[in-house]
Amino acid sequence: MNWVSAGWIVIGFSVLLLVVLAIVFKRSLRYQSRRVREIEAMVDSQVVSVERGMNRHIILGDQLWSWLYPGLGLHPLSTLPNLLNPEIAADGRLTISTSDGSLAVFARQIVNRSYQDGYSPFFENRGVTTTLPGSSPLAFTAGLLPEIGKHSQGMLLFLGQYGPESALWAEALRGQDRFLVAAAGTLEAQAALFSQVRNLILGEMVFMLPKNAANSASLLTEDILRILLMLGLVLGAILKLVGVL
Amino acid sequence: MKKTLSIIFAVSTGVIVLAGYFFKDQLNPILVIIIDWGVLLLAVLGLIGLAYLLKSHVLKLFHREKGAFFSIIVLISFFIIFITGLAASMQNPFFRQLILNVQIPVEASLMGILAVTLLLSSFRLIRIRGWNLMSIGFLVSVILSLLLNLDYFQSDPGTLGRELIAFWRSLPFVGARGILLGMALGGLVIGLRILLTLDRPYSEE
Repeated sequence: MNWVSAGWIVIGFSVLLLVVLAIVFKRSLRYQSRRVREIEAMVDSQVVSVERGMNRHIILGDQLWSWLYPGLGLHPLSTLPNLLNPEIAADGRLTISTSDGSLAVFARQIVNRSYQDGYSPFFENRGVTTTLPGSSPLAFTAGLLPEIGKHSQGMLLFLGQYGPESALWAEALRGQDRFLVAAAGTLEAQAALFSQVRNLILGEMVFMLPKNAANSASLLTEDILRILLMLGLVLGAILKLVGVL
Repeated sequence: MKKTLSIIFAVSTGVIVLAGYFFKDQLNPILVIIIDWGVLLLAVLGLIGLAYLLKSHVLKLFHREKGAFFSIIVLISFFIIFITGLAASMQNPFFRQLILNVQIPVEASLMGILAVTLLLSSFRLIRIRGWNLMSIGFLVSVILSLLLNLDYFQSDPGTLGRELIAFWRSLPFVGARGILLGMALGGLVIGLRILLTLDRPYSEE
């Protein structure tokens, strides 16, 4: 067996698990092995912000795709529709920011589609603002800081792939009445935000957003794959130790 | 119809690209075309995205918002770089110097602010996180890594001290590998969710 076959086996097994579990979880079953307080806090803060008429800001990160974190840049786009139900997206107080042009365009399309599904296909949602404050991570930071300081905001959510510059975003909010949730996937962001953000979602836990049937299936699939990988690594180490490999 | 078409297009493109990694010889000609189209589309999207940047600064100027002066600087800089970039190639020494001599000092100064911010925030760690296993572990790791990287602790080869230092130095890499493996699994499942149309960010639900 070579690495190509191993790749096909892992992908085939993952597809099989995803399909079976997605069907199982559609029938109102939920995978609740972990309860992430930060995700519940984020949902609550979103509702409270809408009720109080406060602004909300979602940051989609710096990159759509990278070799080191494949899938992390794409993840905010699959999460975004769940953060945009018509009641939440219609009050004109939601801003979505990114420093990647393609992420900005995709986000705009998702916003419009969510609005048209809720109201009419002939309308465009002008209530949700999509901005690109800068086209590199630090230029984005320089453009973003005055923007988030301008209005009182109820919720700030950091999603996607971003780096240590997020420490400056978090610092700008310190001591103010804002609710900050950061989903830090990259190692740099995790290290930078750990000492600053109370509601920090670390590592692969970022993929727990959003909460729905498809996500429950993918979480259980990830957990099964992770356990198999751990067993494989331990087995490989033992075989190497005894001189078989 | 539009919904079905977009699903078929997205899934078939994804499956071809995925299969292309395993059947390189057979699918390489199609894969090259698809990736070229993808890169071209992303470049166009990048340009459209820049229009958001320009729009927000132009609106700031028109509405005479606070900080509109900085928008003038951004717009002038943008057009100078854009026109120079169109006239000269990326390899042009003047163009490279123009960008590097502005961008690097400006970004370096922001990195300096970031370093100070991180230092100050590390003092607040216990106040934010409280005394728990994670915060204590984080603090101990930071202090130990800093001390080890200063090279104050030296030990002779073959001694226990040397082994311990090597062990502590390798720990961050072990943790990083663990996190990267978790992220890779997450990335794989996210990609498969889109291929299996469990998530459809590209079309109507």
